[in-house]
Amino acid sequence: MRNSIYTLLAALCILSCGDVDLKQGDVLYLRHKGADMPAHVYGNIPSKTFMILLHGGPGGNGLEYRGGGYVEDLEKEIAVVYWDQRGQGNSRGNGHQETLNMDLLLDDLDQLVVMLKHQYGDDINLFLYGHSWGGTYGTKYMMSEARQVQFNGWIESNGAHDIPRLNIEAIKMFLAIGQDEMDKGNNVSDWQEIVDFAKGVDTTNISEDEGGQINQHGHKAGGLIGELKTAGDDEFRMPFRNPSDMITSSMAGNRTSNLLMQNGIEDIALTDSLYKIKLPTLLLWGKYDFVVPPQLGYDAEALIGTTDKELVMYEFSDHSPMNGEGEAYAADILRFIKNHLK
Amino acid sequence: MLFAQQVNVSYVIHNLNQPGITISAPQIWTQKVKEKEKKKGMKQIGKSNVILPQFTYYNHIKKENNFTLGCEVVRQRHRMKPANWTFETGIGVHYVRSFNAGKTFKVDNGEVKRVRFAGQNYFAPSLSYSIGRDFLKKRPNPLSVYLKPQTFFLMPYNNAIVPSVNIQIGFKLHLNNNSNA
Repeated sequence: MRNSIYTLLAALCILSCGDVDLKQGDVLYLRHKGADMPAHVYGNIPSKTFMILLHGGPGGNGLEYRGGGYVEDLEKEIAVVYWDQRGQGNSRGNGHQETLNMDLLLDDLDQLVVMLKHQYGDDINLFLYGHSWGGTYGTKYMMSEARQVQFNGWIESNGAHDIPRLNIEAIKMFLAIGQDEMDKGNNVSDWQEIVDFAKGVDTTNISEDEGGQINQHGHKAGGLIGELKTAGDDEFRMPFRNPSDMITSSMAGNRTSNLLMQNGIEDIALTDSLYKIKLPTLLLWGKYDFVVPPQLGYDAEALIGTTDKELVMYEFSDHSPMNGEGEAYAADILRFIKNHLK
Repeated sequence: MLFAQQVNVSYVIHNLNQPGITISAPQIWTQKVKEKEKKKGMKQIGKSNVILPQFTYYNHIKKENNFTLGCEVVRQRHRMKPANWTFETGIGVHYVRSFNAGKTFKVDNGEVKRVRFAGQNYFAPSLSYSIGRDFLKKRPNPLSVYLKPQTFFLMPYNNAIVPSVNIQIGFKLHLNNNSNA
């Protein structure tokens, strides 16, 4: 009995130990309108080049993006600001239940920019990156010219800047690629289920509930494509003892996500307003992204109001090209950033 | 005396991967002991209601330093002879104060100001279960160890009630043979 307890104690001590990697970087909390929102700044801070990362979800967290080889490549050259949005990740605080909407989130990001410039200097190079829901958030932010001038460039990866449109495009992909995969004899029963679901959706009137199901089927469909690349086992991973708090952040994030849904984020459709973005823009998409289909990337490439824009389509990726094609992904981001420094 | 005054000190694992410490000092509220004659000899079972003031600190790396002060009411069942096992179920209330890691800033009309000692306050009911055992029974002050999962329900946490789990692995320091705890 005693030996068992000693063994258990030793194992738990080892699991709870810190990691050298986490001793680097800065933790800055932004307090704004009832919330304390952490920004974890890792990487090459002396470079004075910062990329604010808007995480997905809503309901995700910034640090869940700090895994995979692409992070090592990015952090060697620039500083990445892994920010937890209001009510998500390790953000804490109360008082926004009634007022949680897009305007409040945009205001939060304004304050974050002010705080970073105060902390690291007005002369820093600042880029905004948004993945998935972060693409909705970032695109909405970039609708204002006054906000665009704060940044050197905008990087949208698999961004959901038009949620009604992405639902329609996802249904088209389910039907086209699903049928093709079944004809090849690949995962026939799974694809049949997805195709049957897609056939049952009236794309002229997609409900919120159906939108949720499209998202679930989208994630599943990406996993059924055999030729996709995935992250290797030897790639960088956060240590066991890390700042993320999966229990509390997942529960709080779900609640925030539901509140944002109730407040109308499912209706956000910015395709017709993309011309307002005059900032240099990099668009990164996975060819087999069933969650936010590549058509949204093509739309953005065509409609964003600047000639300084580029779409990179990753041939072997789904919703998260940073996982499977991380090396190329990081190289594309760094090339864009280096081309747009002050 | 069947129960000795004691202080419980434990290593805490918060939400599976963050370290901390808990100190508590149980006080017997009521107790009774039953003896039963069995084939293998006398069996002794103690039942107690215990008031358990408790202080916990943990550090969540790069998130917060967290202090919890509270009290549990614990129903204790103590199998004294032939084995020496203790089983406890508890319910409690706590005040929780967290301090943000790093630096906290707020922006007032474009001016950035540092907020010192920034953090959150919570009220937190708790539920717990504990299993413990005494060793070195021949000594006047035996060595006792215990394992205690404890769930807190933090409120209000982002306008909601959010659970957090502490697992305590600790030992009981028997301070006094003549005390009531």
